[in-house]
Amino acid sequence: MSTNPFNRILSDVTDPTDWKDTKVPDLAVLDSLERCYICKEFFRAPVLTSCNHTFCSQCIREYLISNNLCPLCKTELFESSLKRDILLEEIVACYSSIRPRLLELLKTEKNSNNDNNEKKEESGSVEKANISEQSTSNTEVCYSPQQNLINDSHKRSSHRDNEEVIEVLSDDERERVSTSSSSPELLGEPAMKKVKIESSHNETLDAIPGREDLVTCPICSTSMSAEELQTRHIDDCLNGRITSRSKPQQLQKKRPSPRAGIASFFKKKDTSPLGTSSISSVSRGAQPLGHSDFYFKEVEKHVTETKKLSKLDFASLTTPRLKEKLAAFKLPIQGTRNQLELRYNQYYVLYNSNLDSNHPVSDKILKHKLNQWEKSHSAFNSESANLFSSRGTISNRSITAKNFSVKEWLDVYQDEFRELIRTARASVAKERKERKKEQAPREEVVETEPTVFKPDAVSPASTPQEIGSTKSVDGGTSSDLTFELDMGSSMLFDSNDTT
Amino acid sequence: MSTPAKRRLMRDFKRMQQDAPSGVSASPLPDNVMTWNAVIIGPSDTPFEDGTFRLILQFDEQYPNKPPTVKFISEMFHPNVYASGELCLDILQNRWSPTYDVSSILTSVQSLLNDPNISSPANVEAANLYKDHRSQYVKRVRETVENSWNEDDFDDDDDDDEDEN
Repeated sequence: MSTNPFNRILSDVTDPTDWKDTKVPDLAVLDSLERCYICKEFFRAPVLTSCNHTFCSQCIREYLISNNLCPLCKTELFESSLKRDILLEEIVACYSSIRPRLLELLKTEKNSNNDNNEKKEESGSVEKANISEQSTSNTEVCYSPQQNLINDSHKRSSHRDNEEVIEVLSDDERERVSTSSSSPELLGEPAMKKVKIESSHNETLDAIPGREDLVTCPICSTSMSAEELQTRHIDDCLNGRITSRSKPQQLQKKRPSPRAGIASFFKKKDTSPLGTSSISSVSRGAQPLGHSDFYFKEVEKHVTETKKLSKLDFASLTTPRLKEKLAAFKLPIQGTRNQLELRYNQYYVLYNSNLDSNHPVSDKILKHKLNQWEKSHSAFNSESANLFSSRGTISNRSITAKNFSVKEWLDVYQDEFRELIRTARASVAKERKERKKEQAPREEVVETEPTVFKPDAVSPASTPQEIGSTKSVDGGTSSDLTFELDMGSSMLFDSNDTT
Repeated sequence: MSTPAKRRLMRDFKRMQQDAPSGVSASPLPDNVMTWNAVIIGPSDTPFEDGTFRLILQFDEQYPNKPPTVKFISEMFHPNVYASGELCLDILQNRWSPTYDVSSILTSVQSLLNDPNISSPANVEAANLYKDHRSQYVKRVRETVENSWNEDDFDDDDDDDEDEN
């Protein structure tokens, strides 16, 4: 498995198991509770169903286009009953922004002081430590994770809000990542550097919200991240100890009227932009608020009554009428009837789920997402329609094609399978060992020797290890395996009817 | 690498790497995350015990809203597995839920092994033997288990159990 090239990308994928090797492994529970059961990512614009389950708005709306049951409990479910969960969205945003810092602080490895390697910390992986040992004073401890916070929230937001746009951004992203991780920097004047990078990044993505934004210090009026302001700068500023790094003048030009983040807690009421916003609720997300700020202060936003798009009854809609509908939303009207319907439905999902977000994006971005979606959808793309053909390289072959050759497959992927068998065997062996330990006291009571399954006929040479070692184990069937599974998987066991 | 389906599959992969259920393993092809190879070890105390059954899972861009195609490429003798290796499992068809992932699919297939549904069999002979001549059934299954080992190339992995612990 270690040879699989996808392993390299895995460190960028956050998972509840990242907490396994920390001082508080139970944070894995919190971590998984804040994830959507469909996409397994942190909730984006979470909505509550009538059966009290929570999903990302987009995930569940996409699913409900062709289904009407809750994916978790199979209760009948209507899209109209979905209710957005404002508090949860802020909790998740807050959690995922402090997550890398927490991971770093709670890591059990002894090099937990290497807190300026944000890549490592984001991924929670241990190997990437390419940083020199630092003596870490208190201020640095409090300081460095700070940068990581900025970086992570940046990263997080680009993952969460711009997922579909990521191809467009990827160069930018890479550049940013390489700039920030290759600079020797970090203890000298890092915050400013980071902010600059982020800001130049923003120029290209101007309308994209969700990222940790800059706020203005109420005392000296310089711009910085809300976290920096709140945790450090505000005290410095009040005490007259202002460091040179807090004067990124150009930034102010770029962000003429940043909305207050957490910093607005420190502001006088009259400077708050609350209520003065003339921007439509769809584009105002470009300047996100601090988490608690949004929840407590922007009360009026909690009842967004912006009109949701309605589902179209395609059966009673002629193609010209459908095109009119699409044109009314300034959507492309070319393509087959099927493509038009798919396009409308996807826009409908994107649009309505965007309205469930505390930080909605502009219509332009929605259309970009729609475009990206079409590019990957087989119905819009003759190439990907044949994604798995019966010809071509073996890795792209359809496994259901008539001429699919099992022998050839086994041959090509011999090494992969060997590795998989090794891994699977190891996990069985491990489980048996653990179970034996647990069962040890009761062992003599158990008398379930399943002699009938004993592979007598097999010569010892071809018998895999472990085979003889398990016969007295508790008669456990596969159902015992469920104990490790999450809810989604254990549901599978309720329904093993086969067709 | 940026479609929702691919992102989800990378997540599934990470989950399999970090926290795979006992007796199953899976990984995407090195050059195509949409197709996975997988192995299920036959559960203990069943006729399938210790068999090393190979499968392929093929996903499309609608995943996880649509289930993958799952197919055994090891020889199987099971009431719900067709001669082609394709299997008949409700959760891979009409009872699919987008909350499932690779890990839960494989666990589900694993539990199907010893818990066949014989009401609508894909392999009639296996279903009949299972119903009426269980010892015959067990014998046939044991043959497939042994054959699954023969597919293994054991010449260079003598004691691999400790490798991954």
